[in-house]
Amino acid sequence: MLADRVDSEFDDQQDRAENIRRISQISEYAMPVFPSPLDTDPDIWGLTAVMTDRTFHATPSNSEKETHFGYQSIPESEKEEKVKEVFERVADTYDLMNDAMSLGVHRLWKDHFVKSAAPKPTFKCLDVAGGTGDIAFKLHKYMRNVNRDCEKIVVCDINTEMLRVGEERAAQMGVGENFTWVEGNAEVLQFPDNTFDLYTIAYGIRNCTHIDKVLEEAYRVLKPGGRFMCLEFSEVNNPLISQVYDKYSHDVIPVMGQLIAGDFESYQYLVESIRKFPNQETFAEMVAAAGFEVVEYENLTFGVTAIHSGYKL
Amino acid sequence: MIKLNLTQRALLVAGSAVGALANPLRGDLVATLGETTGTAALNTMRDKMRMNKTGLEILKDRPRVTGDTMDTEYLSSLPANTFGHHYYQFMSSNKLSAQRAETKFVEDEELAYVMTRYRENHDFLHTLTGLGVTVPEEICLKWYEMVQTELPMCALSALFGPIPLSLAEKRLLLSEQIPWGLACGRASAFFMNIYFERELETDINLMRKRYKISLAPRMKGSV
Repeated sequence: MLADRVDSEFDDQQDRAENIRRISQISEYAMPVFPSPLDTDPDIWGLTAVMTDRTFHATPSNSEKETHFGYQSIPESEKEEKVKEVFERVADTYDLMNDAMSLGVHRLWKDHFVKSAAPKPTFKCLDVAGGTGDIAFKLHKYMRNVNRDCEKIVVCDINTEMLRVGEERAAQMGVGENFTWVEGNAEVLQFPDNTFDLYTIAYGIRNCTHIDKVLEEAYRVLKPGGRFMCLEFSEVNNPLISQVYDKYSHDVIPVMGQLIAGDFESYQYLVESIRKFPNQETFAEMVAAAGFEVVEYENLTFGVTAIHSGYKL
Repeated sequence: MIKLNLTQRALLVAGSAVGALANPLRGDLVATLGETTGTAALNTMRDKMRMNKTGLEILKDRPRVTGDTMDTEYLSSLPANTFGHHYYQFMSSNKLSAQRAETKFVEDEELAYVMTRYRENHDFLHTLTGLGVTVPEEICLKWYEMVQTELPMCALSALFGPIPLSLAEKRLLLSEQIPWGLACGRASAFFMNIYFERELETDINLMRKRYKISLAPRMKGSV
């Protein structure tokens, strides 16, 4: 049975080769920067499990695929729930914490991101994982400055708590009617094919269990000519700055989380998940693998954050 | 339970100290400061508990005081002279919840329990000493707890807590409440060794006598 499953599916073989290629790129990166109990576990990404699962379909069904949750390895099915929990806990202090952790710089990153996206007023925009509305508000402002009559922006987030925060803020600012708030999973979007001109995801893709699925979905819902844009933490290349940055994010950020939001673990998770995310080059390759063209990235603040972009042509 | 490295611990102590002083209403910061600075005192407290028969039992049973473990219906049905009834009166008249912050930053799990138990005893102490929940009364109780537990956090609250008080309140603290706290703290039995859950049906005055806890001086404005 094992043999015929593997041999009969030529496509599956190809997928497998693709996967192995990706794994070999990723695993170099995947070693945590900080000592952790998982240092001894080479399978931090849970990718060996993915591989075995794909290669030997006869593996007992109880060996569920594992994925990373910060530095912990957890069954894949639990990640979504865990990430949701984290964001439920931090929803209300989310923006304050962003300011504190980045010393306000995240506002500049987001402004630059939206400026680079340069949405036309006629664009149909989808902001995924955009719960608190940060990006959506900036997109709207940009579009409205060009023409007061602009398209509604769709904000999609898996977490209702985060959406609630965004909706409340939109109402407070008196711009509530310019947004549609949709609860949904980035890996299985409920929108039809070829719907949007611009797909944005800021600091969200890191938390998704299957990044490749998110990219595939982004490709699907974009119109031909549409643009995928992603703002995400990335890898600092300057060794001196990266040392300071590592110390800061490991020692200072969780403590800030405890002091400001009363929550140490969620921010420890945040830092760990940043370390686990593929670096600029690897992620750019993943974007290209999903079918996007003219794939490029731009480092912000030494690569603490990077903007990734690709077109569906 | 969270493991901290040295830098994290130092930052957490400094941050929570500054934060708690700036905003004493942030109970979570006060709790964090208490946990990150309490290891030595918690060790002493545990040793004192281990050397006492009841204390040892508490360490073994690890009773918890939460909304679930305290049956309000049962407490309210107790005769008016009992400790349980007084406790119920105190909690309900001040609309307090028995829920306390979880201990997060004490690594040793027995010491973490000692910290939790200390917190959960706080309302029992209010009941026994007759102290209410106004700021001067809380400070007064902190002086008592400081003498008993030697926790640095109690000392900080005891010393810095009075700063925002009025001159009259400070005078009262200095002349009556603090001396009571010091004296009662020294005279009374170690409160961590009282199995309060078993004393709910005991006459409250009998309890005060047995554990040598005297009623605190009446506060201005308190009943």
